[in-house]
This record gives sequence, C-alpha cells and structure tokens, in this order.
Amino acid sequence: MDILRYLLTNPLELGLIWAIFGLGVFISYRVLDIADLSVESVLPFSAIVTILAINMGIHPILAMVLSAVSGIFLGVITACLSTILKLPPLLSGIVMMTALISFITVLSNGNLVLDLSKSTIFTSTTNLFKDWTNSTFWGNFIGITLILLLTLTIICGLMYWFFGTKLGVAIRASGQNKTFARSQGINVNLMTIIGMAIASCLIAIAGSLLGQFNGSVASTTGKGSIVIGLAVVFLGEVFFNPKTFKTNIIAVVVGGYVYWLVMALILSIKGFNTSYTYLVQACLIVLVMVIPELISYIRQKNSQKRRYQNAQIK
Amino acid sequence: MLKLNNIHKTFVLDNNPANDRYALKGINLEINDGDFVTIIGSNGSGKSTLLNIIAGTISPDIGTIAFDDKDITKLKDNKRAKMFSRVFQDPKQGSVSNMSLSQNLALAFNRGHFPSLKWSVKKKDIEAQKELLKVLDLGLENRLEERMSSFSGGERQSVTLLMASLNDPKLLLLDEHTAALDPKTARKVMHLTKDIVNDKKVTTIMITHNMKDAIKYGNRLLMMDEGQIIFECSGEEKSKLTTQDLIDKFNHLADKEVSDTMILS
Repeated sequence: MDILRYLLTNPLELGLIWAIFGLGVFISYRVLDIADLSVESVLPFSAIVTILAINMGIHPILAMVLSAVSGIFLGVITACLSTILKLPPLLSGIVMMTALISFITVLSNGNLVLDLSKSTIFTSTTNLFKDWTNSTFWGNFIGITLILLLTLTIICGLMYWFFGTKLGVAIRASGQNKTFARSQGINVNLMTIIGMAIASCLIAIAGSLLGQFNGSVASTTGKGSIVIGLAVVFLGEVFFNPKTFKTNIIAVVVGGYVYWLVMALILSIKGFNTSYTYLVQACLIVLVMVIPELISYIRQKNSQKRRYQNAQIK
Repeated sequence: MLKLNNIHKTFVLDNNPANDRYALKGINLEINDGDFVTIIGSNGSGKSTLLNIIAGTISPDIGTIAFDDKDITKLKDNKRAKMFSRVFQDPKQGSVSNMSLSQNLALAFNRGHFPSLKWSVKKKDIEAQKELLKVLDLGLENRLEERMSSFSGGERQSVTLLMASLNDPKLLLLDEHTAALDPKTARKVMHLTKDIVNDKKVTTIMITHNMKDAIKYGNRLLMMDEGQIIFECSGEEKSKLTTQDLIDKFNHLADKEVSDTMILS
C-alpha cells in the first residue's frame, strides 16, 4: 500500500521538477548544440541560494527569483567563456561546474538544511489541502503537485512564446547553423549568451524547487544530474518523436515523468541499496539511447528480408 | 562599389612555416555597381577565400576593403550581412534544417535588423511569403510549414537564393552555388539567378567551376590561380570567349599544363 502510494506520487512530483531541469538541458543541448556540464553545479548552487534566502526570512517566491537571477548570471558567464574567451564549449561548462564547487562547499558546509519554521513555496497550498483532505500525505502531494504544475505550465508557455519570437528564432538558428545565422546578420555570440542565460535560469528554478522539496542540499546534490537531464530529453524523444518545437517541449515533460516512474519502480524493489542509484541512472540512459536504434535496426532487417525474398543467390 | 586593395592572406596550420598556405597574394580588385562578375580557377586558387574575405567571414592579414568609399575591413560578417547576402555551395548551409520554410524566410526578411520580441511570423507575413515563393514556380508556397530538411537540394538552394535577394542587398555573393546540384537542377537555379540579378539589378560576384556558365553569365570574368588574379575579361571580349580559350589562357598564364577536367573541378 505504501509502495503503491509512493509510485503514484513520487514520479509525478520529481518528474515535474526534473521536467523543468530537462527543458533547461533541452535548450543548451538541443537548441544551442552545447553540452553544458555546468548544470551539475548550478542546480545545487541555486538550491543553496533559495534555502539561505528562506532561512533569512525572505519570501519563498522572491527566494526563487533570486535563484533564477543567479542562474541567469552563471549562464551568461559560462557562455562568455566560450564565445568571448573562445574556450571550447564543453570546457566552459566544466570550468563553471568546477568553480562553483568551491562556493557550494563553503555556503552549504557539507549539508544545508531548510529552517522548518519558515514557509516554502509549497507551504500555503499544502496546508490548504492538508486541512481539506485531512491527510498529511495527500495534502502534501496535492499542494506540491499543484504548485509544480503551475510553475511548469508558465515555463512551457513562456518557452513556446519566446522561441517563436524573432529573437527566439534567431537563437535557434544560431545553435543549428552558425554560418547561415551570421549571413542573415545575426550576432551569434550574443544569441548564444542569451540562450545559455535562459537555459541556466531554468536549471536554477529546478534547483530552487528541488531544494524546497527536499528541505536540504548536500554537497552531492546535482552529481550525475546532467545524465538525468539528458535521459529525460532522450526519453521524451524516443516516445514522442517530436517534429515541432511545441511537441519537443511536451516530449521533455513526458520524458521527465517516465524517467522518474522507471526510477521509482527500480528504487521500490525490496532491499535495493540506494548507493547503486547512480549505476542505475547510467544504465538507464544507455538503454534509452540503444533501444530506439535496436528497434529501427530490427525493422530494417525485417523489411530487407521481405524485399529480397525473391532474390535468389545462384 | 567594392574596392579590394592589396589583399594578402595566409592560413597558418601549425608552428612549421613550411605548412603555411599562402592563399591570397596581393589581390587588387574594383567592382562597380551593376557588375556581374564570374570567378573561375583551379582548386586552391583562392576563390573561396576571396569571397569569404569580401563577406567578412575571414579577415585579411594585409590590405583593405572599401565599400561605397567606406572602409569595411574591420566590419564583422554579420554586420556586413545587412548589405551583402550570400548563397553557399552546400544547400544544407543555406537555411536552418529543423525550422520551417516560413521561419527561415522570416529570418531573411529580418536581415540587418536586431531580432525583436515580436512574433516571428504573423498572418500578414505568411501572405507576403506565399507571394514571394510563387515566383520560384516550385509549389513551395503550399509547403510553408514544412521543415527545410524535407526539401530537396535544388529546392533549398532556390530558397536560399530567394532569401539572399530580399531586403535589397547591395552585393550578392554566390559561392559555387550550383556545384552540389544535378545538371538539370543546376540549370534551373542558374536561370533563377539570372532573373533575380536582372530584376533587382544587384551587383553580383559568382564563383563557378563551370566554364560555360562563367562565360555565359555576367559582364566580367576573373581567372584565379595560386592566390592571384591571372586573367580578366569583360564586355564584348568576354562574350566571345570559348571554354578552349580559357583553357589555353590558363595553361599559358599559370605556367602549368592542365587538362580541361582539372579546371572544371
């Protein structure tokens, strides 16, 4: 009964948070064609900003805004490393990731805990539904999910609008075909910086929500998150085969949910040692990459068998 | 009016000077408004480098470029794009593959202006785009929402050419833009090129590997070899040229023995 409750609720909550993270990875990896490893540090850094702010008495929504702004700032720096200082983009992300580790260690002191007497962004709705349903568990679930759904919907709406504007289309062109974009008068470096700012902002929002959801940040938070983010994006693509920008956004959200559903199923296996979670995540992304290739290979072989059925080898 | 003055460019591969490629060895060139210049030359002659220097993708080591009496040597390629438009050799280079035809056209319409937060393609833009595409006579006006990846090379190149003609460019740069197309499609694209150049009266520089096209189109012809312009011809004299004349000239001036297939590549 407990496990069933867990499987029904946990993937949805985590799926929504990591869908936001996945959208950030989608922007850097698919739209800008940059493998951005800084997400591994931007996520916990932003969670720390939020928790520190809330502990200081700052309103949780303002705390999230602070985190989002820090994300934008970090994204701009990462992008400047590759556009202005001409570092290879992969290295830029790694440099930012590494530099932030120092800040994360100092600020979190190993483990940073949210002051339970302070409200989070979830508190008002969870309290409302706790009274309404007379159940702590369901009150928490409905309250949290509602806030997450609202945040995700706003983000998806903004993303769909933004990347349909002239500026958004210019950013997409800069990521897909630099030379062509330049020939159309687009300042590709500036577009990359703006795009990375937006991507890191989304990562930071996810970090802020995660920090408030978990109530704490450890120095290990965020490790392996790039793999989760990529797995979310790829899973969505496998299921949806998205052709338009709108379906790409939906695909990431679906990918987020499916990923955490699978993880929840695995983690709920009796006696599963949580230390092996990283191994499971690594295997999962390999499967996500390999299975579609395998399926299309088998399809190809079958259609070849049919096509050449009558060709005789003499 | 484009003026290139003493342009030199060397590509440095590594620390060993023996591996340097001296691509342009003192190019002096004046192109007047309304000229349609064709450039031919063997591989490695510096034709593409010259075009890239004019477009601003590469900057010269020594020398200056002036356009309409303004020095543009230090102007970046995306800033020059306001006045100069380009068509590349690879049809895939000339548009964004995973965006729709409509969005690509919208980018071209916006060339020279900073992209605003206005919606990229509005209803009235779609009508304008359809009218524009009807000129190509390829049925593309019915396929505005399709991704560019679903169009053939010839269709994509025609679209890129059309986009390059938008917003009244002062200079049209064509870099072997029919080289990757089959002969029939190449002919269609060349006809389209001629129509656009005549309609818009735009100054054009066209690199081509096809000697017949180099003679047939345009009012001026330049032959390049080893980073220099070795032969120039215009007007009446140009229209009387034959491909054999060009081969003979090349063999004579370039101090090499070449068969006609080598020039054609």
